Amino acid sequence: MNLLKKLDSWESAGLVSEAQKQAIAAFEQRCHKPRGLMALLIISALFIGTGFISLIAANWDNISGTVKIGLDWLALGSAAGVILFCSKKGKETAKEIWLLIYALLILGSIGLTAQVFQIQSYDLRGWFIWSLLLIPLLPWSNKPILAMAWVPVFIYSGFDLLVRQNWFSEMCRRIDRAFDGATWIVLLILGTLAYSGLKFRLQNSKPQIVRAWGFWLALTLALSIVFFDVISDGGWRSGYFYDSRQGPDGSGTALIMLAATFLIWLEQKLGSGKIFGLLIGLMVFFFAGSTLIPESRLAHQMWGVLLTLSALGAVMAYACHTGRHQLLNWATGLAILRIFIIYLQVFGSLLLTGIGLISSGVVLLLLIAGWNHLRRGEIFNKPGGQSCQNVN
Amino acid sequence: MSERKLMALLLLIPLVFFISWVGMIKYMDYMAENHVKIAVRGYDPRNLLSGHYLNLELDWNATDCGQFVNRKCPRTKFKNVYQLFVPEERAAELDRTVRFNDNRYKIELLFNYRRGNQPRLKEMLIEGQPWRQWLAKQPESAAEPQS
Repeated sequence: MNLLKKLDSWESAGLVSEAQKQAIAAFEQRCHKPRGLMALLIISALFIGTGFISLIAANWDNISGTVKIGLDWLALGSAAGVILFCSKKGKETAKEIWLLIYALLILGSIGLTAQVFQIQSYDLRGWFIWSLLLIPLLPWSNKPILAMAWVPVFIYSGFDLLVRQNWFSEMCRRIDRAFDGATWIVLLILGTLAYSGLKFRLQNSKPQIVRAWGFWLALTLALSIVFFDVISDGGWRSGYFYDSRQGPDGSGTALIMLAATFLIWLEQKLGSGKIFGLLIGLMVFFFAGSTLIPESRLAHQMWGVLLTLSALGAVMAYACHTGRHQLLNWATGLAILRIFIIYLQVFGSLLLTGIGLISSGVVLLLLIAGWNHLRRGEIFNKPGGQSCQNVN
Repeated sequence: MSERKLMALLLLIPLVFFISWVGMIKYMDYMAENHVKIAVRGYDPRNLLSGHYLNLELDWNATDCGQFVNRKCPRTKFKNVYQLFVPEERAAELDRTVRFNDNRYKIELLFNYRRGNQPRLKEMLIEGQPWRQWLAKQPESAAEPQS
């Protein structure tokens, strides 16, 4: 429902007066951000930036390397100058656009220097250098786009660099002796700790960096859970990460569980999200527990389903507690979808699928009835949490 | 130092990096002891970020190891495959020349090599000449493969 329709319904319900309705509508009109225009500006900046890269990549033979490098430095200096000028004049949108162009120009400059001096590319080092050179630009930006681009490049290229170091791959192998996927869990714990630290230090001054890190962390966690669920359908025991067929290592598992518990405690202490630690705790339980369940395809499938549903349950409880009704709706929808997929995975015949679906439909209706009953009660109206009744 | 000045300095860090990088390359070139030539075979070009290049695989069997200390080729000091960045308008022609060479021309890479340092690729030589010179001397279809 759009705002004007909502205001009409509030007015007819006697919640707001005619004057209040007009004032709210006028305020929203003034504060309305022209998203279409902003999107066009971002696209034009991307066009200009990638255009520079393409020009550089053409590697014109009739211009000497020295001239090319000189022009490149001039372009870099000019872009920096324009950003300074826009910042001084308070032209925020222009500054953001130029920051984006500058970032792409830096990427092009790495390519140009490599081209002119025939510098060889080693793995993703060029991207890693780019992500390092973007760090000084991040404090300049007040919009999330630069940080959104920076986070995955920095993490992925940095990780790529690390896994090529003998000491790091040896360390990963040792950690994975705890249980399959233990290294991944440790990396997620470190990523979440970094998020908590960023949120604690930068939430007020640079929220866009915290937002970008949080977005990619949430996406990575979600994909990890989906991945576990998918490969639990027969592929989990094949030593996907490293070959850990020697069996699980109890002390390593205990250490990782301790780290996850510390993370949950820290998130509670700092108030930095709370949900990430909980999800990681669930992943530790299910990843480590996968070594203890019987060697049967069905058991592994159900183990994966249980992780997904537990994670979605945790997200639903979190969404309800923090009053994020959209997140609650999405998580509920995904949980229902996952339950539906179980039938396609488990039942072999149409007869069994039909009976299973009808019984589940009945169970879901009962759940909905119970849910409605709870919404009228006081379970979600505890002090400290926001009532679901208020947000729905 | 005011915050504005500090922010301005942050903005200039990438430029300072590029100037230092080029300075370091020039210094390493200056310090390099000698040039070495290594024979190559080629295959497959192009990259979105860096433009067009030739992929060149070192061919140690066709390389004169006498140019190295103790007459031993230091194979582990070099990569197996090198990329030579070439201009867009010459890429296709050079690619054909190198890929379908089949021992028709002697193709080598010229490196700046100093013991203890990473070798730096300087130039590609065809029949002992820098590829630009060699290509300029060829009639229109001379570089085409004879399959």
